[in-house]
Amino acid sequence: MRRALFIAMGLVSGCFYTDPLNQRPSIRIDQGSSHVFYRGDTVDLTAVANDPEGGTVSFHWRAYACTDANLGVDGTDAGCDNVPFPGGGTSLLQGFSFVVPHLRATGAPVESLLVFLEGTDELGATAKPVQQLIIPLGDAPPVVTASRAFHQAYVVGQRVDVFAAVGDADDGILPPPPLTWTVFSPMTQPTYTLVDIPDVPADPNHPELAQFGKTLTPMGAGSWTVQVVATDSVGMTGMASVDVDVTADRAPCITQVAPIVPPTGQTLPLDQATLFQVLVVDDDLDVYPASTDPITGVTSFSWSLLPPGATQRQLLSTATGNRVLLDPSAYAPGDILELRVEIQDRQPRSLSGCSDNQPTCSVTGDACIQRQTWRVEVR
Amino acid sequence: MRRALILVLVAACGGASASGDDQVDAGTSGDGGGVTDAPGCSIVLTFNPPQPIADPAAPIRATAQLHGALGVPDYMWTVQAPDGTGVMTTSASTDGSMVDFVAATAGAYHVYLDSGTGTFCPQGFAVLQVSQPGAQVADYRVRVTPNAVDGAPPQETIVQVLGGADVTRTLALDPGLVVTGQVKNGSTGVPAYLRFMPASSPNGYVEVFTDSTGHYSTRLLGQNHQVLVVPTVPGVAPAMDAWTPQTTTLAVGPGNLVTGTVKDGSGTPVAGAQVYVTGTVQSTLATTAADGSFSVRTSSPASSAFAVGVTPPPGRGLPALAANAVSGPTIAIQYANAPTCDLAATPVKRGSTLEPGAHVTITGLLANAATMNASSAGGRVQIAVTADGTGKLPSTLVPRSPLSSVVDLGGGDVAVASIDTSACAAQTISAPAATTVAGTMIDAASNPLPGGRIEAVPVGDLAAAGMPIVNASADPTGAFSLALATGGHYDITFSDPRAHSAPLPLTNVTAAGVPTTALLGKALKLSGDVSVIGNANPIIGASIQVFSLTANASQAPIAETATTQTSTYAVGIPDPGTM
Repeated sequence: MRRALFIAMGLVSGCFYTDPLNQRPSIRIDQGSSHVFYRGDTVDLTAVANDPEGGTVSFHWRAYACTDANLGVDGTDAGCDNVPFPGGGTSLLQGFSFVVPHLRATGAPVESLLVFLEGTDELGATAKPVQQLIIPLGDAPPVVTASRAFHQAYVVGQRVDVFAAVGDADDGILPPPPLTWTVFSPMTQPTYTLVDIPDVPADPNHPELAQFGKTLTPMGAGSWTVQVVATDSVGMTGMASVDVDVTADRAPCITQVAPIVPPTGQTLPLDQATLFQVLVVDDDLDVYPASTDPITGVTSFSWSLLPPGATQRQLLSTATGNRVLLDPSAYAPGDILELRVEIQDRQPRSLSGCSDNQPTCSVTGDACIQRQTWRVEVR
Repeated sequence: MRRALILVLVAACGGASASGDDQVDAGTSGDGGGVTDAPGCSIVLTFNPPQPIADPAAPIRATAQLHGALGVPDYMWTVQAPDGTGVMTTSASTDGSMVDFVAATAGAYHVYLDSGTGTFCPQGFAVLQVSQPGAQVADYRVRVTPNAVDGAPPQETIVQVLGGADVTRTLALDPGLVVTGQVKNGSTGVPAYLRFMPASSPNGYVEVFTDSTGHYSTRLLGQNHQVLVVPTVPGVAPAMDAWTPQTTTLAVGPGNLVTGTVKDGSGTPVAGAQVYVTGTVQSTLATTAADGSFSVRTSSPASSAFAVGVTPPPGRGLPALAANAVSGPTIAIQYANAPTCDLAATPVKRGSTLEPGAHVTITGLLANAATMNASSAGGRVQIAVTADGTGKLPSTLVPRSPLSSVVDLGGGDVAVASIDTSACAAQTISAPAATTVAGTMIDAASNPLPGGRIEAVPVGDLAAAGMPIVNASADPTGAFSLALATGGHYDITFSDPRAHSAPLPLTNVTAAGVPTTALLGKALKLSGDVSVIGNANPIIGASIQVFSLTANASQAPIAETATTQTSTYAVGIPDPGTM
C-alpha cells in the first residue's frame, strides 16, 4: 500500500520511482556504571544502536592497550599499540566483555585503554562517527603482609625471621614491587642486624604473593617494629609491619625433678638403682626436654656428688645430660651422700652467690631455681 | 532470659555422663570409640570394625548414639584423615546416625558429629586409629607428671601402638583426691618417707615426706595403693601398708626382731659390718657389735624367709654378701675360709707412667662366699682405695680371685683392668687410655643428625664402682665422639632430642661395640592434648615420659617431652613396623 502510494506520487509528479534512501544507524557505547578499572579487571561494555529503518546493526569492537590513550593508536611507546590487544581485544557482539591486559605489546604496563565501536546496518551503512571510548586505568597499590616466625619468646641477640609477602595483582606478571625494610628500634636505640633470607618460598596460603624474608637480630630489649613498604612502578605504595617484643634472656628454671627432694634435714632412702632426673626445665631459649622450635636449644646440666664422708663435691664431668643413675650397691648401707644438679642456658650465669651448702640456688632470688640437691641415704 | 531458658532446657535433658572414665586415657580412641560429655547430654561414637585396618575397599561404619538429647537430631558428620583432609561419608541409615567412610591410609582419623543446636548436645568427637595392614603391635607405658598447680597426681597409662602410623592420644588426667593422714607408732606420730604405689600402675608412684609429727598431705588417685613407709627415726621398722581412700592412719611399729652374728672364715666375730634383712620391705639397718652380733627390726614375721645383705667393714678384704630365703629369727652368718691378698705397693700405671692419686675400685663376684644358716651366700667384692703420692696402692686386703679394677684418674678418665689375685703374685694395675669412639649419627631420613644425644650408662664393673653416666652430643654435622673406659661395659642409647627418629639402644657393649654409623630408626609420632578432668586451665610444662612396659626405676624413658602452652604434646616413639 505504501509502495503503491510512492508509485502513484511519482506518476503524478512526473518523477521515476526510486528506493527510499537508507540512513546510517547511530550507535553509542554504554559503559554501565562508571568506576575505576584496574589491570586484570573485567570490563563490560554494551553497544546501543538505532537504525532509522529499524534494521539490524552489527558491531565491531576494537580495544587497544595504551600508555596514553589520548595520543591514539600511533604505535609509539607513549600512545597505544597498533593492534587490539590479543585475547579479547576485538568482538563482533553487541556486548563487549574483556579482561584488561596488564602489559602493552611493548611490555610497558597498560595505563589506559582506547576502545572503538563501529556499527553497520544490514544494508551496509556504517554509523558515523566511529565511537571511541578512553578508559583510564587506576593503579592499585601493592598488597603487602608481614609476619614473623613464631617462637615462645623473642630474646636479645637471637634471630627473628621476619617475612613479607607482596603482590600487585593489577601489575600482573611484572616483577613484584621492590620492598623497603625499616627497623624501628626501642627508645634506647640498641643495635641490630637485618640480613636477607635467600629463596623464601611462597606462603602456601597466599601463593599469589611473592615472599621475602629477613633475619632481624635485635641487640636490645624492648618493642621492635619491622616495617615493609612496597612501591610499584607508578609510585603506589603498600605497607605492613610486624611488632616484636624482645626481652632479655632469662634464667632457666628447674620446674620438675624426680625423685622427690627431701626437705631440709631429711634424707631420701635409696633402696634401688634410681634415675635422678630433671624432668622439665622452663626457659625462653634452652628448655628440657627439647622443643620442636628450631631456634631453641637444650639446657646444660652439671652434676656433682658429695660422696659419703667427703667434704668436697666431685664433679661428674661426663654426666652432662638431664639424669644420672645412683645405684645403692655401689655404696654401703647407711652411707649418706648428696647429689646435685645445676643448670645453665646458653648465657652462663654464676651461681657463686649461693654458698655450697645451700641445696637450691636461684640467680634471680625467687622460685626459679638453677640448683637442686638430693640428700640420699643408701639402704 | 534466653540464657535462663537454655539452662533449664539443659537441666531437663537430665542424662548422666556416659563416660565415668577416671583413667588418664579417658575419652579417646584406640578402643574404637569415643565419648563426649556435657551436662545433660552425651554422644557416643562407635566404629565397626573397632580396630580397622587401612583398606580402600572396606568401609568403616561410624554409629552415633545420643543420650539425653532434646528434639530430633541432625547428624552432621565430619571425618578428617591423618593428613587433615576431609573424608567423604555415605549415610548408612535413614536418620543419618550411621555413616560409612573409607580409610585408605593408616593413622588417626578424627571423627566429629554435630547433632544440631536443637539437641543441646555438645559436638561428638572420637579419634579412630586405623592401622597398617600387618601392623606389629607394641605397648608403651606413658607417664604424665603434671605440676602441682594442675591438680592431678602423676599417673600412667598404657598406649598400644600399631606399626606404620602415627598415634593420637588424648591424655585426660584423673584429678584424684587430696588426701591427708598421719604415720603413727601406736598413738605417736612418726616422721617418715612415704611412697604411694597405685594398684593400677605401681611405677607411677607418688612420694612425700611427712612433717615431724607424721602428718602428710598429698594428691593421689582414688584407688587402692600400697605404701612404703620408711620412718626417719630409729627403732621403728619400715613397713608396707595398704592404703585406701578412707585411710587416715598409716601404722608402723617397732616390728619384729631378727638377730644373728657375723663371723669371718676363722670364726672370729666381725665387728662393724652392716646387716639388713628384707621380707616384704627392708628392715632397719644394724651394725654388728664387737662380738659380731646384730639385731634388726622388720615388719615381717621374724621367722620369715628373708633376703639378707651384709656389708663388711672396710679393711678386712671381705666381700659384701647377699643371700635369699634365709629364715629368721636368728641368722648365723659365716664367711667362707678364703684367704686374702694384700695389694700394698701395687703400682697403678698408664703405660709406663705411675698415677699418683688414682682412685681404684676392686670389684668382682664370688660364689659361695659365706653361709647364712643353711643357705649359701654370694659375695660381691667392692673395695675402694686411692694410690699414694708415688702411684702405688697402700695396704689393701682383697679376696684371692680373678677380679677387676676400675681406675678413675679424674675428669672422667676411667679404665677397667683385670687383676688376678688368686696366687697373690705381685701385680701392676695397668689403666689403658680411654677409647674414643667417633662416628656419625644418621636420622631415620638418612640425614646426619646434628645435636643427637648419646648416653652411655655404665654396667658391670663400672656400675659397681659407681661410675657416672657418660653423655655426648653430635656436632652440627652429626659427628660424635665418645670417650669410654677401655674394658668397660655400657648400655648406650643414641637418640634424637627432637624425637623425629627413634632411639637406638645398645645393651652391654664395650667401646668396640659402638657403631661408627649410628643409624636411628623410624619414629612414630605420639601426640595429643593433655587435660585434667574438671579443670579448664591449660596444662603447661607437664612431663610426658614413654617407657617400655618392663622398665624399672633405673631405666631411662624411651622418649620424653613436656606439654606446650596449649596443653599439647608430641613425642617420637619407635615404630613397631609391619609384617
